[in-house]
Amino acid sequence: MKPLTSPDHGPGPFTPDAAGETLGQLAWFVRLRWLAIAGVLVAVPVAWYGLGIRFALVPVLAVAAGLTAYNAFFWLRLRREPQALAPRPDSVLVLARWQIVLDLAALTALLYFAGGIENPFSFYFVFHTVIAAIIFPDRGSLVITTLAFGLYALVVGLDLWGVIPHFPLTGLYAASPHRSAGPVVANLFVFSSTLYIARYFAASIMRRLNRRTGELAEANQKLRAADKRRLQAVIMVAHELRSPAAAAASLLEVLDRAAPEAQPSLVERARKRMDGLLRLINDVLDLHQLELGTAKVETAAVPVAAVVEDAVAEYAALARERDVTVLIDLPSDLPPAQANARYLESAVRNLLSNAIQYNRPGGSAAVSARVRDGWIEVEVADTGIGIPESDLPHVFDIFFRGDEARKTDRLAPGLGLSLVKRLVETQGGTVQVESNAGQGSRFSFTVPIASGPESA
Amino acid sequence: MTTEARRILIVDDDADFVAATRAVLVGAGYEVADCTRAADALVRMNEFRPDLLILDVMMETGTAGFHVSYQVRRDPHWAKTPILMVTAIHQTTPLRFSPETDGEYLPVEKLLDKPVPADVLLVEVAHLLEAAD
Repeated sequence: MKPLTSPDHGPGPFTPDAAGETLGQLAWFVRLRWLAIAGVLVAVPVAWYGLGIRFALVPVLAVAAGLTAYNAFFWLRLRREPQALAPRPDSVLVLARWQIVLDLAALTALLYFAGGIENPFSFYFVFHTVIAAIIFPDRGSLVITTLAFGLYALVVGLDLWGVIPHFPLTGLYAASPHRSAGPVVANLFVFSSTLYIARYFAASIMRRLNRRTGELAEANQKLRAADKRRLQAVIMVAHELRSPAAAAASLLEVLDRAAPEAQPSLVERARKRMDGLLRLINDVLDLHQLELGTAKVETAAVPVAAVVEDAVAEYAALARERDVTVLIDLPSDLPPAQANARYLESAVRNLLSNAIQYNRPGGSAAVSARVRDGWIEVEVADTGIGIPESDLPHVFDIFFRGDEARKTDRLAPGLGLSLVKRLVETQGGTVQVESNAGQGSRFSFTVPIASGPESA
Repeated sequence: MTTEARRILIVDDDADFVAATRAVLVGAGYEVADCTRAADALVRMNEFRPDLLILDVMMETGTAGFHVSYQVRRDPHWAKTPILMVTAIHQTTPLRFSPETDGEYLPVEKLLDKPVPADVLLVEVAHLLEAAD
C-alpha cells in the first residue's frame, strides 16, 4: 500500500507526478467503501432475521443508501474525469480528508440508529483512524481521530443524558448500558484510547515508511545519474579508444600508396598511436579492476626519482607543444618507495599530463617529492586553469569532468584522476588536491617508504 | 584535368590523419599542404591557394571546423572553393548533420566520416575538383 503524501509534512515536494498515485488512493477509498456497504447489507439481514436483533431498520437502510449514493458519485467521477475530481495533487488530499469525515458521519449515524453504545460495530472507528494515519501521518490524522472520538462521544453522551431519542438494539444484551454513567465512561475511555493508540502506531509506521521511501527515491535518483554518467563515459572511452585506432588504421591503409621513403615514418606514427591506445586500454583495465578489487598488487622498492624523470621525459613533447615548462625538484637522498612500479608510474604520468594539458601557454608544471611524516609525498603543481571549488569534491570521481576541463580537452574521458586515486590508495597512500580556479592546481599523493636494510 | 598539379589543403589537428591523408593524395599526384590549427586555416589558404580544402570538425573546439567553413565562405576569394569535411562527430555526439539537409548552415560540399578509406577519399576529391571547374 502506497501512502499519500501530505503537502506540508511529506518527505519530498508534492509533485504532479504524485497525482496519479493519489488518485489511485481515492480509488482505494471507493473500493473499501463498497466493501463497507456490502458489509452493512450482509449484517442487517443476518442480525434481523438470523439473530432476531431489532433496530431502526429504515434509518439504517437510509444511511446505507446515502453511503452508496456518494460512493457511486466518487466512483463515476474517478472513472470519467479523474482530473476534474482532483485538479491539483493537494486537492486530492483535501478530498480524501472530506471523504473520511463523511465516512465517520455515516458510521456514527449507523451506530446511532442501531443502539449507540450497545452496538459492537463502534470498534470500526479504528479503521478510519488507521486510514487517516496512513494518509495524514501528522496533524491530519490526529484531527480525524479526535473527530471520530467526538462524534461517538456525542452520540453516547447525548444518549446517556437522554437529550436525543435512543434507538435500541434489542435482542443482543439483556439490558442496555446507555443510561448508566459507569459503563459509558469506561466504554468511552477504552474507545478513545484504542483510537489514539492505533492512530499513533499507524502514523509512526507511516512516517518511518515515508522517510525510507524518500531516502530510497533519492538513492535511486543518484544511482540513475551515476549510471547515466557511466554510460556517457563509456561512449567517451570508446571514442578515446577509437581515435588512435582509427588514426593507426588510416596510416597503415595508405602504406602501399605512399612513396617508399615516406613509409617508415607512417609505420612509426602508427606504432606510436598503437602504444597510446595500449596505454589507454591498460588505464581503463586498471581502473575497473581496482574498482572491483580483483587486481593483485605486488610492491617492491621503486626509485621515485627515476619514475618522475621518465614521466617528464615522456611528456616533454607535449609540454613543448603546449608551451609549458616542466620543473623537477627531487632531493638527492629521497628513499625508494614501497610501491607497484607500474601503478606509481601511472599515477605520476596521469598527474603530469593533466598539469600540462590543463595549463596555459607560458605556464609551468612542477613535480616534486619529499619525505613527510614517514611517507614519501609526490606533488605535481601547475599554473593552469585550476578547479572551481564546487568541483573539488568530485575530481576523483570516476568519469567526472569539470566544465573548464571539458572546454580545454573536450574528449578526455575523465579517467585519469580517479585512476590516480585508486592506484595510490591500493598502495596504502592518500591523494590530496588544492586548487584555485584560474590560478592552478596542486595534486599530491603519498606512498610508503621502502623498508631498507637498516630499518628492516 | 590541367597539367599542373591540383592543390589541396588539409586542416586537421591530428598530425597522423594529416600524414595518412597526405600520403594518399601525394601518391595520387596532388600537391598537399596542411595546417593543424583551425585558427590559422585562412592565413594558410591565402599562402597556399588551394583548389580544395579538406577540413576536420573538432580541433581547438568541438566545432572549430564549422567556423572555418563559414570564414572561408565569407571570403570572396574562397567562396567557391570546394570543402570536403571529414569528421568523427557522427560517433561522438547526438548531433547529426549533412550538407544535403543542413546546406544553409553548413557550407561544405561533402561530409565524410573518419577514417576515410583511401579509395573513397580519392574519388570524392576528384569529383569535387571536377565539379568546381
